[in-house]
Amino acid sequence: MDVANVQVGQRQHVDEIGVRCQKLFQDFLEEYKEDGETKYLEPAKELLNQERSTIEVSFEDLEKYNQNLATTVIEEYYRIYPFICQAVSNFVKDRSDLKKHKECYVSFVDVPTRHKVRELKTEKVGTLIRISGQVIRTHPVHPELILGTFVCLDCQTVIKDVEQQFKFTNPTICRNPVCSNRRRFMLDVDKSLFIDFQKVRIQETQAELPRGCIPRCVEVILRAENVESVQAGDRYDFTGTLIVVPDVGALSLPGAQAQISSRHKAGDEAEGVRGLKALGVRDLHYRMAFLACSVQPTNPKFGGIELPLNEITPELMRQQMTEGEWNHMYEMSHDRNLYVNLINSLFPSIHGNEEVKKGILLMLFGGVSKTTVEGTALRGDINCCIVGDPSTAKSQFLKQVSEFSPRAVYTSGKASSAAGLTAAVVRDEESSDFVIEAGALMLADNGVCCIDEFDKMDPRDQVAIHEAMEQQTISIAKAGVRATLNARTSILAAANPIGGRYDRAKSLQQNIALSAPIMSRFDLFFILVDECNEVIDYAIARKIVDLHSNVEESIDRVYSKEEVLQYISFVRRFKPVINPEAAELLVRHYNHLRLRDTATSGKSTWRITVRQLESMIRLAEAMAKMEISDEVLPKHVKEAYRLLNKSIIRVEQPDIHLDDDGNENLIDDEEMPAEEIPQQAAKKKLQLSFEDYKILSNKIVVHMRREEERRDEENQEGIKRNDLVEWYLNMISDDVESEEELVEKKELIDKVIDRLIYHDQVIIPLTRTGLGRDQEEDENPLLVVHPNYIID
Amino acid sequence: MDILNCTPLQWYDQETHFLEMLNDETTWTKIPLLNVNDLHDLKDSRLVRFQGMIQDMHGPEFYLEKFEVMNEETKKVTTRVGKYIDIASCEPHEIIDGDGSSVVRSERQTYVAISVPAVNTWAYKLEESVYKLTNNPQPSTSCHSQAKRPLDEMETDNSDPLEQSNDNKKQCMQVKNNEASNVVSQEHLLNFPIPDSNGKVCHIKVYQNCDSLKINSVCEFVGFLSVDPSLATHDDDEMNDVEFQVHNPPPSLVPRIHCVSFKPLKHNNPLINESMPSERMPVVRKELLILLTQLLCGDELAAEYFIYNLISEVYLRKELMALGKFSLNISNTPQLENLDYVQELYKFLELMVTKSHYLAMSLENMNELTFVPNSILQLSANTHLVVDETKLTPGKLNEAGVAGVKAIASAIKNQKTMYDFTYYQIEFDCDIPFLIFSEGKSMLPSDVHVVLEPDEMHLNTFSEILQAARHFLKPELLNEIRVYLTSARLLDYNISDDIQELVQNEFVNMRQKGGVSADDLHNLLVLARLVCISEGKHSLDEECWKKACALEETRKNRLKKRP
Repeated sequence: MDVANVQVGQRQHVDEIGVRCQKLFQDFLEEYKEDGETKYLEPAKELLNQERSTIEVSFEDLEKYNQNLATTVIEEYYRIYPFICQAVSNFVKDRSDLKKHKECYVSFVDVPTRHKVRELKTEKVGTLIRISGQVIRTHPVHPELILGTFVCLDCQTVIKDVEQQFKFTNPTICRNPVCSNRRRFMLDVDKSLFIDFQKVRIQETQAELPRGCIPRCVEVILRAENVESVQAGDRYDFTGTLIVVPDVGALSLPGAQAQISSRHKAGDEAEGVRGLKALGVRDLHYRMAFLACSVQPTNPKFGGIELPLNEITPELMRQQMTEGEWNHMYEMSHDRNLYVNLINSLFPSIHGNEEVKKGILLMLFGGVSKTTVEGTALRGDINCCIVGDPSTAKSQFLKQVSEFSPRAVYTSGKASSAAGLTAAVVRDEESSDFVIEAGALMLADNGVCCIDEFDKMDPRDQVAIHEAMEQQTISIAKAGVRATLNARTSILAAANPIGGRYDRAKSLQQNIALSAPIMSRFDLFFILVDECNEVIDYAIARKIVDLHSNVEESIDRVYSKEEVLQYISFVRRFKPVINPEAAELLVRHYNHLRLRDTATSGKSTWRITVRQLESMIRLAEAMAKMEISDEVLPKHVKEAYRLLNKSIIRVEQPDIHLDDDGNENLIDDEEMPAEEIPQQAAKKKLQLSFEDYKILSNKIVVHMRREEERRDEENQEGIKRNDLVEWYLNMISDDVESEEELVEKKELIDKVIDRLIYHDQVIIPLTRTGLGRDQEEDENPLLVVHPNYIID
Repeated sequence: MDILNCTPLQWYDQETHFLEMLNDETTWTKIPLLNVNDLHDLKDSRLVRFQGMIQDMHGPEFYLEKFEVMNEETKKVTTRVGKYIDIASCEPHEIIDGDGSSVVRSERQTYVAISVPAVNTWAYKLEESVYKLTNNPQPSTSCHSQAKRPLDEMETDNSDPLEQSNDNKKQCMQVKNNEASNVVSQEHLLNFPIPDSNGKVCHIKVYQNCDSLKINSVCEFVGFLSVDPSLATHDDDEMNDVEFQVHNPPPSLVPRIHCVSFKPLKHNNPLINESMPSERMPVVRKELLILLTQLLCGDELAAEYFIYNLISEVYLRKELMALGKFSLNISNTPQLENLDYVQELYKFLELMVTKSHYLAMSLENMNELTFVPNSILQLSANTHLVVDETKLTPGKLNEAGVAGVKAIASAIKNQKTMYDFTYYQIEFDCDIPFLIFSEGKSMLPSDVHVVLEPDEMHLNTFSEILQAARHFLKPELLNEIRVYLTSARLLDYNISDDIQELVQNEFVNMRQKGGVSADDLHNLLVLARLVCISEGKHSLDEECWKKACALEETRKNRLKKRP
């Protein structure tokens, strides 16, 4: 390079920091080693190719190498960017036999903090940041003039390397000392340097949008190798800097307008010289743009492997959180009532239905997705289905979830087709190519897809989501487009029972119009029945009246929605491992379910398959995640089993009322949270589902027969009633957690025995007749099984 | 200091002082109102007032709050202020330095505000009579003698090769009406949801408290008017010409206002100076009920519900529910021989409420009007939308028509309107009381469905009834009704603890009898509130609650009669 020429350029003074950074950066390129090899040597050599000009540098490496340099790059990015590029050029030149000078560029990746489009403020100007957004428009690629060579029209002096700054910039003055030409120059196109340039427009993503605001847009400028690397509609991370583009041209060069033709336009904003402005009036505002040096898809393109998000470890998360936030997360994870508090904070306006809320909460946490040795992916997302009578807040659950969950799509089954849910191949209006249009399931990738009125969906359309629900991919082969797309989403569906109301005399499958394959793909089924019950009615009325009189305190929300959301996104990163005890318990529970499934011939809702075991694992994992535990413990399995059990074994038979009053009451009151209505707790009726009652009675009978045999041999008296109660309580002692529960269970077994004695007459109480009869015996009689009773 | 002649620079120097002055209501109202005045009657870079609805938000803008100017001849550097102005003026021999040491860069937000859509003529006329400037101040266009030049330039610019238009077509599919010419049409720049000859559009540049401005909210802005014609000049060979023009329309069409202060407007009723005494309200209500009963062919129940619809608003949004919405469907509307019943009725409605719009739901209208996005549903809160379904004739709705029906249905159900942002749709809250007239049950959902029971005699003499009603509606009464409707809506309302208890018990009883769901309780509570505030009461009492229950029962019985 001709030194004299450089000096005529606009750089009158030397930026010392810049020069220093240039040196340091060159050292970094030369010295930074990974696994004993100079990491950036190979990439630099590739730059020798004609079409390559950009080297990709991981910012983490730079940070490791020199913290100060990294900070300077972050803070003064725009200022030192030319120097860094110069360093790359020199590095390439030194390491090769390149004769000609070649402009090289650097592209930083792995810049730690990510900003929203809305956060781009004045203080961000010139610093290195990463933003994410959805590309909404791409402009055609143009050549941009970066270094112009001008010829003075007065004296024919050639002025080289005039730096262009977003606008067509003439030399300020001819460098020929005797010529005082300031305005008449001609650009020599052949000797000027151009670069590819593309403008794209990005828009704030839906998740980042504050309520009641129009999404913001930013122009992003892509240069050199980055051009044509984005597609409209996709989400990308852009690393670079915010720049303000002067809205006006050179004020000092009136009359330059004639030379600005579109061919030589200085790239982006050649808003320039206008008659009036030249006379001394100037716009005082600037347009902003984002000058990107690297582009990475936020959402991998179709068929991509992993989200960058997933690579974030809890440690990394911690680094990004403020001390306060971290402490808050820590506090939350140690909350004893976390489960209940989270539920109440998420659904403050929905009364009761604790099981459903728990299920949805676990769904939000999700299980751990795994890949087997063979490479098969096992889904970690939990699918839930809510079946219930009209006006039981089903849709409200769905709406609420889609409202606060960052990536959620709400759709109604009635209005969507298979293509609308999965993906469609459509002809692009602009390019007339076939393109894939993402459906709801794809849009909810890594989120929740809420499908209302699931039963109203066309059966053929339901088939289309089979694949999405288990394999979590969508394959399409239409119009010459073949693709397998990711749809790693949890599905929360709501369905109405056939005939509008849930018929408790029928099985779940008979109640909803869903095929068995679809049903088995749901981990959890919840049944909401419109309960007509004074207590519940009162509670509902209370909620509604409170709502209308705007009383906030009806339920004290422990956490704000934001806190819950942050907690969920934090916790989702963990990957708990099942510990041996939990594994054993899982096996036991599964066996139990499976056995029971075959035992209660034909009456089960569906067959217990491996899918249910997987469901149980996922739920247990979600439980462990919620408590930020590295291991899945037996207690997590227990809760998972309880939830699953609840959703598998639902009432097919009318409930057994153990109280004698004939009041029709159709709900499982046992699960009513006792703290909510303490005064009512005493009154609540004891009842069991038919299924449970059958199981329990069979157990009792089997036990009694065995005991009778044993005792006969030992010549003992038969079983007394108290013995039986004690045996039962011992048997279930593992599952009992509190004293109240024990009392409750005792009451229950008493009633069951009573019923077996007086109603079913399976057990006969032996009472001695005559004078010997006393009080003790009246209460604690000898019991024998009816000799003709056959266990079914 | 005279606030009316204050310049942006003076304001900048004494910001707190002037803001205090603005706190005074009389000073506030003294500032000329842009809505009712012509642009050329107002002075450039002086304070103006504008009542408008936020229609759009543009990106933030960077500007130089302070900048340096160097005089090339004397080499003297001075610092100038760039806040509240668009254009810095400096002499030809001066150079603006944007990088000097004392330069302060800041940002401001640009909002597009349009005059409140669907304001009825009487309200506009009243505003005009109060705030129209009588003495013509010197016109603003004289501020810059060079004004002629940019205009010339613009003309030459626009005659640019037509090849550009192809480009535009591809680039900006959303601006369909721009295909033929290079310039965005005036209608597009103004973009009123409902055509309005008095309508104005402003670009409001807001410097602080931007967060409180939401889309579709109505605010009154005070700020410095900026109509410098040089703002209209820009290069024509911009690639995104259309977009640039949309964001930088000529100031003669779309003036800029550099906002110094704004406040949300709860209502736009110019008659309300102080709210109506609550003793007076039942009296006015009675008169109104008489009038409406006659207009609704002697059906008092329908008239009651009509009043409630007029004073309803969404008073609370919680979770996903919009509480207080009260869209009314009056079915069995009579068909008169030589009168259009619904339109006649609407003429009265128009006189009573400040903002309303009549939408004939005819096939052509549904198929041709745009509903999504930026539709006629983009209305400010409390704009009564009367949907006339009797105009519907057999035929086929096209795709746009189906989308339109869907959009209206969702607005009724959730009080939300959908906006399309190419790659995703977003719903925004709205608050539009719907009044749907139909023959059978409406195809649109509604909160309340009243079957009209017209009286034979009324039907036969309807034209006389109209005459009598017009006569009945003396200006004093009309004004009182106008004030009544607005002040009833603005009443504070609460439910005392014992009434809450009562309501809960009643609900439990109703449940025991069966056939009642939680949604019914919602409706009852909304109705009870409307009954209560329509009487001018602040707190729900048993009487109102019972009345609401009775009304609902009568209404439901009527529904049962007609299968």
